Amino acid sequence: MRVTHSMIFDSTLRNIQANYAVMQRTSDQISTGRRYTSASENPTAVARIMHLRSEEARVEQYRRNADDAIGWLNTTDTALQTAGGALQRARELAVSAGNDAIAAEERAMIAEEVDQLLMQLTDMANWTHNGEYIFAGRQVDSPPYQPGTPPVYQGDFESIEREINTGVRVQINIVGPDAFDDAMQVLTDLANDLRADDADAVRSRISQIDDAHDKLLAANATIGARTNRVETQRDRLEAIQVNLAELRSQDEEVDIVEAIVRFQSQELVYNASLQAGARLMQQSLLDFLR
Amino acid sequence: MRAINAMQLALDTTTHNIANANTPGYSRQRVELSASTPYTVPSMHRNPVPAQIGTGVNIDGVERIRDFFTDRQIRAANGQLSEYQTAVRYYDRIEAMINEPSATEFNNQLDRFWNAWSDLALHPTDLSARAVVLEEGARIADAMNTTMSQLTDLRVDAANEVGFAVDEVNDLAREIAALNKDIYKLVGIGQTPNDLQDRRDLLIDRLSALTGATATFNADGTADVTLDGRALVDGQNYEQLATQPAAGGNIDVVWASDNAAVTLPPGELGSLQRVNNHLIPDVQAKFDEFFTALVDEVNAIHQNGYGMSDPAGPPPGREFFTVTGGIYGVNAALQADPQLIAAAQNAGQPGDNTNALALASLATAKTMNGGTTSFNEHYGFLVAGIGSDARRVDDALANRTAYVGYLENQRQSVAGVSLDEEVANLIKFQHAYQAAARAMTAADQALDTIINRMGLVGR
Repeated sequence: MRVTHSMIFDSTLRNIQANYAVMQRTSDQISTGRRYTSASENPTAVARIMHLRSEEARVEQYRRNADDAIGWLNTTDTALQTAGGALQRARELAVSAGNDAIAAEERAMIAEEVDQLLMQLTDMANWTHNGEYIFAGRQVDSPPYQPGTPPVYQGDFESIEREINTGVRVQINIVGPDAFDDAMQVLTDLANDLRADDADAVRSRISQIDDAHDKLLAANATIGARTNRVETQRDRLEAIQVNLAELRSQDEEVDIVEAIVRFQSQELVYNASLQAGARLMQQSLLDFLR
Repeated sequence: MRAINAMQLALDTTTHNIANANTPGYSRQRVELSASTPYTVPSMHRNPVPAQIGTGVNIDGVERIRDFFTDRQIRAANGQLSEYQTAVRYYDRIEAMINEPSATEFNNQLDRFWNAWSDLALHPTDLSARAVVLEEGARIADAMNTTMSQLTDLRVDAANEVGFAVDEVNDLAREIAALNKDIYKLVGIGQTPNDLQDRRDLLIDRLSALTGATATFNADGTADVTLDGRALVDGQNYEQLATQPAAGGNIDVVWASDNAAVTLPPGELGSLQRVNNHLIPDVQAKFDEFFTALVDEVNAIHQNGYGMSDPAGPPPGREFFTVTGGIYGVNAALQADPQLIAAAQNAGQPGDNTNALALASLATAKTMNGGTTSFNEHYGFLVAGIGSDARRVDDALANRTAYVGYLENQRQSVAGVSLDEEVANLIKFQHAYQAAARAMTAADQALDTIINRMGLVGR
């Protein structure tokens, strides 16, 4: 084949440019840490990366939802336990006030303490989490119990749910009446009986206090079970998150060591093509004529 | 004297070659020489010397050296090369516009939008959570508007380029016809207008890349160019193209003389027309379908819910996204009063987050493609679909580039100027010139001897 000067110039230039482009591509990968900059480089991988990114964002959100649910459930648990403590104290008071040896004045003093316990119970029933009343159903913006004898529930009976995975929703709230109404009623009755100095009636309240306490405990058990469920889910979400990140980095991120080695070998080829081109382009018959 | 003339011309041609070594489209020229007709020594009787006497050298002409078969191959391939080059240029711009995969682009914005609803579901009474929903919604609307307006701009560019390409085709047709006229005149008087032909070949190359038109060469030296079965250049006559707006922002390319439509074969002009009439509208339609479904779905759920202070009764039916004259936005009423955002599915329940949950679950709901893909998945497929189309065109371009590169090499191998060769020729012809001149000196000296030095007869 007859080789002309412009062929040599053209092909040298073309090769140098091609080598340079390859190098630049690798250098881009190294400096961005990303394997692909456009979908056309690998459409399937890019679709997968985008999908994994969305999944990660979603799992992150579910974790946030689960964390919030756990916070709410823990607050509920604390409130119910405090309420349980108040009932226990009321029971002790009822036992001691049921003793026939107790004087009427003492019963009246105990009635004062029972009033305080009732107020404490009401405070718990009006407890908030992040500014929302947790026992009010969906009437989260106003206290569900107004002080009274007994206090009256003013919330609704709707559920509040958190989505902790796709299609998995957990109810996090307990409505006040399911936990507090019996306890409030029995404390109101007890205070009345104490003021009426009726030892028999006071003694009969003990079993009612136990029933009310059982109801509180049952509510607390429900909360505990839900907490377990959400915590298990959250642990699973954490594991999934790690997996997703790993999967995505396999597709999306450049293996830096491999890329640097590749860059060096490309640099070698590029330098060689520059040198060969420089030598070849300088050759001319004119150099040998005089 | 003939030899000196011939060598002089050969030297001129060689320097012409050297001067044009880098001229695009130039093909090297060669002086065609032949020995002139010898004569037999006249004699009454047959000459006992069995020889004819040479009379020197003839200049047959200056030929350009060119491989017309390669020319034809290059012209056929050029159209396809430009077709793909143009398509790749536009795909690159579309891909740059989409800019996925990325941690900040639309896919991510969509995720953040769903998450904002999910956060609102955590605290339906929290005004800052409502503000975030509005902010992310506005971001989505902006992104949708940007995408659509960038595609519109891109289409305007393509339409303009169709116009420029048609202008260039018209200029080329006119110039080729003018060159045909000049060449015809020169060929008619027996000349070989090499440089004019080179120039015309170059123009035909460009025209074939632009339109995929084919050329035929006539015995009278003229060249005809045919496009879509009709003569664009016919000897010294030529036709012109024009553009006509068609339905849906499409552009028709027509013959200016009778407005008959031209079906453009692969080439830059055809590619630009296809980009304008098919590629961009298809991409626009895909995005439009996606955005419309997204807006409709979000609105349908939002319209079914209640704001914080809405009374009982049928839902107030507020849209979340608005579409006015093709521009997306977030409902101004919601922006004025974020309490109107419908996080609840029941009136009078401030803690009701069920509608926010319903909106958040659009992240995974199979809403697209007849209920088989979610919005995010659909967007991923959309991007990957454009990506694989772009890749197909990229690959085709790489193939064509290699093929045309090979053909160009072939052409250069035949028609290109080799400086080494020309320098060698220069020396060869210079020597011949010197020798011819020396021959004249020898003849001169011989005559000098005879005329001036042989005795003084008659003086």
